[in-house]
This record gives sequence, structure tokens and C-alpha cells, in this order.
Amino acid sequence: MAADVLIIGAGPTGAVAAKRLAEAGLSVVVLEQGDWPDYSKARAEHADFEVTAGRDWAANPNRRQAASDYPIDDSDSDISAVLYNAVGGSTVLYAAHWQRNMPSDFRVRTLDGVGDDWPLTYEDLEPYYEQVETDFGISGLAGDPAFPPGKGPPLPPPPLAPMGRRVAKAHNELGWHWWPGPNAIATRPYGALGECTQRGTCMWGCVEGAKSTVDRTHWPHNVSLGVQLITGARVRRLEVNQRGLVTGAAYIDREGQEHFQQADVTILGASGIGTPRLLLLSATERFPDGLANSSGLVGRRLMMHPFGTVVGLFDEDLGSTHGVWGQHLHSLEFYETDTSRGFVRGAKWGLQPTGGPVSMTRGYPWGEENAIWGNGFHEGIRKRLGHSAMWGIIAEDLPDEENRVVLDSSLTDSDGIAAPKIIYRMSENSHRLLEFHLARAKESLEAAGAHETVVAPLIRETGWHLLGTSKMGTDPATSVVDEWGRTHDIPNLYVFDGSVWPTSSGMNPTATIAAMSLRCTEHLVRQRSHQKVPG
Amino acid sequence: MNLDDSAREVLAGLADIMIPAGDNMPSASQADVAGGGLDRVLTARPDLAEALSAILDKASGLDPAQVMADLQTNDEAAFGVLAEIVPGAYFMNVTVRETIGYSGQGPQPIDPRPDYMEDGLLESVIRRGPIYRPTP
Repeated sequence: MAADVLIIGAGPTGAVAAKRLAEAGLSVVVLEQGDWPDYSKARAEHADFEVTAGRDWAANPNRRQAASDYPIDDSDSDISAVLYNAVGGSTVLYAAHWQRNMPSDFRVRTLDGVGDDWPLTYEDLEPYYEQVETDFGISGLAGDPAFPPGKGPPLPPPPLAPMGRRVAKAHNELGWHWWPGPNAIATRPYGALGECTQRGTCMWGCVEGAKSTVDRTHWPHNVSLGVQLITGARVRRLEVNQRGLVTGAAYIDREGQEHFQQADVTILGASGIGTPRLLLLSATERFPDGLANSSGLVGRRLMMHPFGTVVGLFDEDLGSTHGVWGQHLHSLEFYETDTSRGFVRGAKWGLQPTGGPVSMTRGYPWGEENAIWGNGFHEGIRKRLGHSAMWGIIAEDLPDEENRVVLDSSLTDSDGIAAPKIIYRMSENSHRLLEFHLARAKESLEAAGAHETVVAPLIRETGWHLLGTSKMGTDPATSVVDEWGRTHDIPNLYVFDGSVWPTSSGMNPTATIAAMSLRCTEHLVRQRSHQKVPG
Repeated sequence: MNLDDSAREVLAGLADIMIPAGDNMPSASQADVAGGGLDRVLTARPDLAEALSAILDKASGLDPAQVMADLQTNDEAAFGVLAEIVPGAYFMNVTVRETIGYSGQGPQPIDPRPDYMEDGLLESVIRRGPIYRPTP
């Protein structure tokens, strides 16, 4: 049966869109290649937690190799892409740092002469930020001077904890910005969310159900509104009719059977890798370079946020095996451009705990080069465990058409569909940016009393933020979708996920992905009487 | 997959290079990493068994220190398997956990008192004023 709207991907983009569409009375079908997350595999209460975390909650699909996953060839990339294929998408594994973009993030070309301006402003997006923060149950504190004044999120922030108090005091002495961390973590019971108990296990299955993942906050509600959510459905291609309109999607179920889902309108929310992969897979005689690709930009301008860490070691027991993971506070002191630093744009810092003893031995957050195996092992554990606090640094990377997603010439998924290959090189600007920020973060922790700092300048398996590969813009020659997420080439095909970002900002992107999805969906609902459909 | 005694002996040798005795802490083998510890890890991570078996086959009869140095430098994937299994088993050992004072990732309910409001911490930040560039 044909749906009014077909959504591909049950991550945050699809969750937000489906909710609004269903509330507006539209029939919605969602195809998701994964399943509902299995929280029986959340093992925080068991001794084998740190061992099982790498099995069921691994971020890298090439390691996880679940039935729902597709491989990603990252052999030509400085960073490995990490994502989660399930109802909830990558909110299942994200650290839940909930960061709005700053106003300057929408005016990068105008202010800094690089990248592009977005075809919308912070002020355009602000009401949608407010709505999704209510829907997701965000915790945080209004009044952060790094953002325009406005309504705060519905829940109070998590505690600063001993580590955060030390750093806050140090930043006040340095005259540097900090603010209690905004998180998609419920600090009080909220709707479908339980209350956080600071186990520090947020990325590996929250047993309290306090992390705001859309499998909890959105999908049960969406299904109750009549949304048809089909799991285990791997979309192979979109079909286009002779009028140049998308008629729906062909997908393969777990038994290998192929189906076709018809719809008047199709929305892609399959991530900055999955979305361009599908557009490229759907090439036809009429669209030989893939759908919506007259600009040649589908798959190009991949941005992944180079990520580094600085960990401070303290004499004091900070209790840093626990906390929100999550961020106890953030700093945006060096976020805005200062060209005297030798680069443009900036980075956001989030202060986190470091976890249990096995985590003290891992490349994240310590860096493989700082391993403690051998004679220094026990001293390393003693110095790190419970006595360490980590700055995670999200660096803005600028768009570069050579950084891209393509279809791999030989690698396929379990259904024989061409896998994506990512080609990504860090720019000189990114290298300088990270070097500067790592040095400042080191100063921050030293000022907070760290007797030693451990720097991991670039951690490879941290490509959580997959952005830019279906650029939004007003000119069809230089962008894939318009300011409402509609592809320039196909008027009933939309992209609402992080693919559309013209620039990457230096923020964790889920807040803006969700707000953008809601803004685009609202427009689609308002304009539905003018919508071209294939029927 | 059951590893025989000789394979476990090879693992014990490799594991002790990673985690030797010292600082009043047992080595990996003393903490039964290659015995019950390994069984517990492989119960949780059966996906690691095949790769481990291959590593131990190759390492059999060789100097453990040399093997570990070689893996660390030349075989990231194989080293990664040992880096999951050895500390995983070591830190599931009850005595080890007690000695380092680690009791797991149990709940620590949030204190509802806002510690960010204490000592005027936030006032300094607010006093410094906005740090963002407004939309031009």
C-alpha cells in the first residue's frame, strides 16, 4: 500500500520527521535495516561490562559486523566512520552531548571567508531547537554566554562533579569560558526516560534508559500514532518514474526477499554515508551519476570532525570511573575564529570521566601511543583509574570536495549491495586547529591541578559525525537540496539528515540534525497541497 | 572453543608481557588470566576465540617478549585481540578488583543540589559576557 511519506532510516532524523508527519495526519512508512536495540545486552551491572561493551555496542560497524550493518571501506581515510544501524540510529551509541550550533556556524563564508553560508540562520532554527529539546528531554542550563539568550532545556544539568569543579575554577582563573554540560541525558525521570545514575556507561547501553535515544523518546510514540516501522529492511535502491519522480524504494528483508514500498514522498535519513550511498546506488539511464546528483556533489564534501583528547591525571580521587558520558561541562572559549592562531574556525571541548580499569588501557580516550602495557602497567592504572578527567575536542573540518563517499568497486554488504568507501584527508587547517586546541586543553587541565597530562592528538575510530555529503543550498549547480531539504532535481525526494550540512560546525551534531529535520518536516507539511507526487 | 593447556601456557607468557607483576599486584598469569579469566572472557566474547587461537599457534615456541613487540608494531588487529582479552580477564579477577578498589559501574544517583551554583562559580562566567559572534 502506498504511503504518503516513506522515510529511510529510523535514527534521529527519521524519528523527528515521522513524529511530526504522523501528528499532521499523514500516513508514514519507515524502512530501517536494523532492529530495536537489545538492552538485555547492556551489562553495566555485571563484571564483564567492559568486555561485552566491545561486542554489542562497538561503534565501528566493521568491528561490530551485526546482521544490520554494512561494511565501510576506510582504507583511504584518516578517520574511520562509526555509526549504528538500528531503531534509534546512532543515538544508540552517541555520547549524548547536546550542542546547538552557534550563530556564526550558519555564516561561515560571510564571517570567515571559507566554506559556505547556510541558507538559514541560527534564529531561523531556534524555535525548532526549543521543540526538539523538549521532545528529547534535554538537560542543561539556560544562560550560556556562548549562545544567544533563550529558553533553556527542560531538565537541570548533571553535576559538575569533582572533576568539573576543578576545571570550572581553573577556567575562571584563566578567564576562559565553561558552562554546565548540555546533554541528552535525563537527570530526572522524563517521559519515557529513566533517571541517570552516573554509571558512566552511556555509550554502551544505558541500563536506566536515561540516555535520550530516539528508540525510547520517539519511536514507541510514533508507532502509537500509526507510523509503520519496518525493521530488518535494507533499501537497495529508489525507483524513479518517467516524470522524474521517486515512486518508492526497493528493499530486502532478512530472509533475502525483495519488496517495494510505494510512497508519494520519500525522505532520506540514513546518515552522511548511507544517504549518498543510496542516491548513488539508485542511478538510472536518466540519472547515470545517481539520483539528485546534477551538481556532482552527492557524496562529496564529507566532514567527520577530527577528534583529539587530553586527559589530566590528578592526585585527588575524582571518582572519574563514574559520571555522565555525557559531558559534565563544556568550553567554547576557543570556538570562534581568531586568525592570529594560524587557522580558521574552532572546536568544542567536552569534559568527561574516563571509566573503569579496562578503559584505562584503551586507545579511546588515551591514544594508542600512550599505552601502558609492560612494566608501567600498574603504575599507569593507579594514576589513571578514578584520578583522570578528559577533554574531548571536536574540531571543525572545512568542506573539501575531494573528501567523499563513493561506491566501493568490490566490497559489498551481506545482500551483495555495493558498500560505501570513504576517502578523507585531514586538511592543514584541521591539523593546526587540533594542535592549538590540544595545547590549550593541556593548559586547562594543568591549571586545574593535573600533575600530568596525556595527549591523544587524533583518534582514528571517532568518525561519529558524518556530515556534508548532500549539501544544502539555493543554487542547484552547487548544492543537492534546497533550504527545506528537497532535492533540486527530484521534487518529491528529500534529504533531512546531516548530509545536508554546508559546513560542519565544531559541535556534536544531533541537536542540529534533529532541529533541521523538524524545520524541514514542518515545511513539507505546510506545503503538502503543492507537493508533486507520482500517482 | 576450548584451548588446550599448551595454548593457555603460550597465552600466559604473552599476557605477562602486557601485565607483569609489580607494585604489589599480580601478573596476568598469577591472576589466572589464561585459565578461568580466559574462559569468562570467551564466554562473553566468543567472537574473539578464533583470532586468539591463531595468535597462540603462531606464538608457540617463540619468545613472548619478541612476539608482543612484533604484534604491537606489525599486526594491530592481532594485538587488539590480546588487548581485549588480557585486561578484560585480569580486571574480572575478584582479588584484582578489590586491590585496586574497583567495584564496577554501579549506580551513583545524582545529588539534586546544583554544585555548579556553589561558590559563585557561574557568576564569573556570566560576568565575562557573551562570547559568540551574532548573526551578521
